Amino acid sequence: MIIDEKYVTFRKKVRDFAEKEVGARAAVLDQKHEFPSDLVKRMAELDLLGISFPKQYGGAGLDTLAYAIAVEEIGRVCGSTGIFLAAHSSLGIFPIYFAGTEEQKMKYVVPMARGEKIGSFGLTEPDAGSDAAGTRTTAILKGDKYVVNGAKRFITSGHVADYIVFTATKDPSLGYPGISAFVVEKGTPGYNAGKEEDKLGLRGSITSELNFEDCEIPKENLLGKEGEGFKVFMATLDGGRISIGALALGIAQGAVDAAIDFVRAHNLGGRSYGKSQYVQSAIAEAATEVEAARLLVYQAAMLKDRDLPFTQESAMAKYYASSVGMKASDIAITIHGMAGITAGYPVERFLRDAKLMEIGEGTSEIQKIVIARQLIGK
Amino acid sequence: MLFSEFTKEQTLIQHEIRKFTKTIIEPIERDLDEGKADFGEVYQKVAELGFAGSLVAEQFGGAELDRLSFCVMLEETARSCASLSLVLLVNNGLNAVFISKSRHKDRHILLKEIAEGVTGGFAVLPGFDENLPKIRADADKIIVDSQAEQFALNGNDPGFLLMPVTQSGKVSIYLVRSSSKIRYVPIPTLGMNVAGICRIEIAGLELVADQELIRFESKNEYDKMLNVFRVGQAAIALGIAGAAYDTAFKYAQERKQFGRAIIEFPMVQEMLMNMKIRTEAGRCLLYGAVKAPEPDPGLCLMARLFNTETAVYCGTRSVQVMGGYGYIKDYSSERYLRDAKTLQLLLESPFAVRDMLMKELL
Repeated sequence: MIIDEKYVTFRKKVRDFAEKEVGARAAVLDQKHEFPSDLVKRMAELDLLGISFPKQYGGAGLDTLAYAIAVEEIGRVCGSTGIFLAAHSSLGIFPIYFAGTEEQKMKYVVPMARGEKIGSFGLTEPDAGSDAAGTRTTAILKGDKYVVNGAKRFITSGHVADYIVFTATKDPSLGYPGISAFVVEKGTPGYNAGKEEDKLGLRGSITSELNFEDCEIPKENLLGKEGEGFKVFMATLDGGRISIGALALGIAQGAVDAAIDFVRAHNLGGRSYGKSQYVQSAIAEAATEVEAARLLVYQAAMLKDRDLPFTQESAMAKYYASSVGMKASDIAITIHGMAGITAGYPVERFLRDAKLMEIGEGTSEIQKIVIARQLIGK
Repeated sequence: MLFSEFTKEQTLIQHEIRKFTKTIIEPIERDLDEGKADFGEVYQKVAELGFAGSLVAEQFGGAELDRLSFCVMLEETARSCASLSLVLLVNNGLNAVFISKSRHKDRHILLKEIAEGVTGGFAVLPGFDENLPKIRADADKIIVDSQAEQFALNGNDPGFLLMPVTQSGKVSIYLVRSSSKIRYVPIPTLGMNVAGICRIEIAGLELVADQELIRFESKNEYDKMLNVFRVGQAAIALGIAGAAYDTAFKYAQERKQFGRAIIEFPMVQEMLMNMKIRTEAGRCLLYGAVKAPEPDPGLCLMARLFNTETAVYCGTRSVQVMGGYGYIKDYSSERYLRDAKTLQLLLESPFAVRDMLMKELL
């Protein structure tokens, strides 16, 4: 697609890093469930951990489109590193940048955007997934502290995060109006990251349970006002969807590229494999859908950058790009034949990684509801 | 369920395998998948039940099952362990089929071994030109060297290996007993983790006429012999699809969001219904293919294509219905997805199967 020159240059910089440093490690991270701490440091050096945040808050001072391009390029070679980047920026930093006081921004956003600290976001609970109003974690104000009790589940980077934004309610029976957002720091007594999940894909990223047991959090760690948790996480998820869409797009592009490389290197019955119409049809279809997904993802990013409404567009971008992620990686495996199911090629990893994109930060079913509500009205 | 008119024997087989999977496999399902349980021990128990030689003639200790019974056995096994089902399929749908047709002097010994629970490997004839092994003819023997990638099924310390070799349009299947000239290289796979899918490296393997089990005058003739394997694949696919559906269905009944069980939501219902519709359509196709007195080659190919696709569809949807819980290894949905996609690519590419089906239709 046609895009401003500055993004082309930025993409090239990220792609160089991704291909040389991330791609080389991706298979091992996946097989050994290894969190890439060294790559996190490198991303910080390259100013990739706070791309869309202003320089005064430690960011790179670029925009959402540049950020989406970076997530896409990292995702093209490694879903695990991509989801780390997406969760750190969109879920860890954004809610504080969005709802935090100046003091909170200086304290939390700056070190996270610089990549000195790792961020995470705790919304989902064992019994509150799609239904975030069902939040049962409680935060009760006692004097100048909130006392937090409860558990979160499926939290990206939970174990390694220094600062965790999370939601809790003052009374589970209140639904959304009862929910507020807070920041907890690693090491706070009563807070700990529990079990690490063993997952289908994204095995180089960490997914944890978070436990709160009479965990006391200073009153000033409330984000926004009491009862504004819903507003904070809805805004966070709107933006997060762009990054998951971008990650799905990257995985899909990686799958198409891998399929093309494979096709070029093989012959079938004395003919170039690429002469097979099955292959042509499959690659053309996947590549076209990848391009359409890119337009949707970039459009959502550009709307956000222009401060225009983008809820519908980001939901469409995530819904569509995540389905393309699955389709393109499925096609890529099929094109590889039996080789495609072995770890000798990246395509089986792409499929495992891509599946999370249809689930995390709102399932495809939830995206459809968001889109329909925007179109039809509530 | 359609086609429920099983014979007494078929119902008995279904019942026996269900009892076996419930007591022996289900408690260790995840351990088996992760290689933490002793697969060999489980396979020996299957042999004791008499299913290791499902397609081996009774005179050699086999069960000599009819094709539908064979499919029922594979489907039921695959519901809890697709790897186990695949090992049974390779030993019977490939090895026993070719050995039974052979006039080789050792054929009876080999068939007895299969029935006793020895697993034989099967080298996959590479689809791509650059992967075809290099073959040199030298007086009364040929010498084989693998070039790029060649895979084998049941390659986990096999008792013997059947190796198809193409030479001037003909396909010969050779019997290889242990040989230092073949290395079985374990390789992590998407799914079917303990079925022994591996790479083989062949260096200077000498094959003499005495090792030739059977020869086909054309690749076409050889391909036709693979139909037993294909219907077996379709049966395993039904097992995976059924298990994926059951797991998602049960979860959807139990999981509450927005104050209701998620099975009450039409988007979830739609996924479940589509899984069920495709699985039952696939069952009709498969049973139609194997119930005819002479198996219909076109239907066999259709069942292979449709059912493996259905299994991938159901595995994917099963994970989706379960959301975050579908994505983690505490539940089996993610395994169904991995096993299904693996099954679809085994032995031959779906593109190649489509080519064959088109030839049948023409």
